Amino acid sequence: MFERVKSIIVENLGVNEEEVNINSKLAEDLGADSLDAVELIMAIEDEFDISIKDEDANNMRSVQDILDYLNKL
Amino acid sequence: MKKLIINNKESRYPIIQGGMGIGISLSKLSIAAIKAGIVGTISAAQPGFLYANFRSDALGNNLKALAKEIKAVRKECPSGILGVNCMYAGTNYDKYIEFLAKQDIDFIVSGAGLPVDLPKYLVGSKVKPAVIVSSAKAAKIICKKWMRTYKVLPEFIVVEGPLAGGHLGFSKEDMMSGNYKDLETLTEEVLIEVKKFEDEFKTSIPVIPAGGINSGREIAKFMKIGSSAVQIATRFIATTECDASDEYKLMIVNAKEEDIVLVPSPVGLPGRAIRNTFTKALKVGNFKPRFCVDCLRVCAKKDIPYCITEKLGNASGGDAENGLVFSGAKAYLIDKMATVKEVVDELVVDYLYGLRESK
Ligand SMILES: Cc1cc2nc3c(=O)[nH]c(=O)nc-3n(C[C@H](O)[C@H](O)[C@H](O)COP(=O)(O)O)c2cc1C
Repeated sequence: MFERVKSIIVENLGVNEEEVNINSKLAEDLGADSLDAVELIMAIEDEFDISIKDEDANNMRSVQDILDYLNKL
Repeated sequence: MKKLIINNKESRYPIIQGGMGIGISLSKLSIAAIKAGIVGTISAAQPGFLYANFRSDALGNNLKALAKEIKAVRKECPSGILGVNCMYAGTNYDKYIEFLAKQDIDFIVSGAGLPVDLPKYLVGSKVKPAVIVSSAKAAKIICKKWMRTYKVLPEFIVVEGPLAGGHLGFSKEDMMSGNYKDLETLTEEVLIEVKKFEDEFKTSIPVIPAGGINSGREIAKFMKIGSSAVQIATRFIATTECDASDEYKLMIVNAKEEDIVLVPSPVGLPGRAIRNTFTKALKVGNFKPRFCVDCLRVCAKKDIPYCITEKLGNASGGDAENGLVFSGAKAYLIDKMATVKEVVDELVVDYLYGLRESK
């Protein structure tokens, strides 16, 4: 799971693989602005074939948050 | 001439009068705009500012003011194209949109942030969602997100470039270092992104550049590259019908090129304004807010340079030296007061000549 999320992040945010770990914060550590965040969520929806509510998306601030959400599905 | 169609209504000329807060574009300006053959936009930025108990109930007074302004336009122009500009960064965005969804307007246009959930509040309403962006990336994300979640595309997309008035969609660093694209380039890039959605969903999405457009020749230039219309704001301030105070209008008429400056704002983006006592004092220190109506979700509320609602409201109300006079970069080209119809007619004639020259 982490690997799949990581590769989406690398692809969408243009960061290096080494920069992405479980605790990375999307904005502070990976430099995602609000546009990037929306784009990233849509890419995750595509990859996992799911639909994420805006409220849930707004709460995803770190890689851990994304993994927690996906694990609960 | 290319036709601008919004909410199944056709505008005579391909021009939108841009929304201007606080209290700059309300019903008087919109009525004049619609009567002159263009699209009118009321600004939802604190229209109740001058109401008696605004400070204790901003939301209530703003909604009351919006209803009143919209009604005033509809009395004069029952079938013209009228929209409301509502900033996404504002507090109670959902409450404003839910309220506006029930009003007799044709569109709601949102910028200052990415209005990802605007269509959510318009389900079952005849009011159409539109967006203001400052990059092709934002245009793409909005189209994709709205289509995916709400099965709608923007009614139109305003592309706001670096010469616009009010808050800019570019950071201070980028503005200072020249790290931004001009409006023509931005428009072309947005057109390319939007075309993909138009092709895929067999529809058309008007792309409408804004920011520093001051002549009909410029309108012709933007129409030639594929725009469906342009949005113009600053040119309509120095008009008899504009809702701002005379003092505000005079600042626009008298401004020289060097008087137009960038100022920091609690919104977190630079704003373009006319240099006055207030902007000069801002260089020396902050202005302690006199009140707070919690207008912005993004305002830190503490250690801010000044209160945006207080300073914009004061300028629009008449204290143009001690308030914030938002203005586009080309205000210095305006040197007299005119009626809205005179401005529109001049733009259209020049536009038609511009189109002919290029043939
Ligand atoms: C005085 C003033 C107030 C403005 N207020 C708003 C606003 O409340 N919301 C918004 O989205 N844009 C606002 N704008 C931006 C305009 O709607 C418009 O897109 C832009 O100014 C176009 O450039 P121009 O003024 O050079 O024609 C404002 C512009 C001015 C000059």
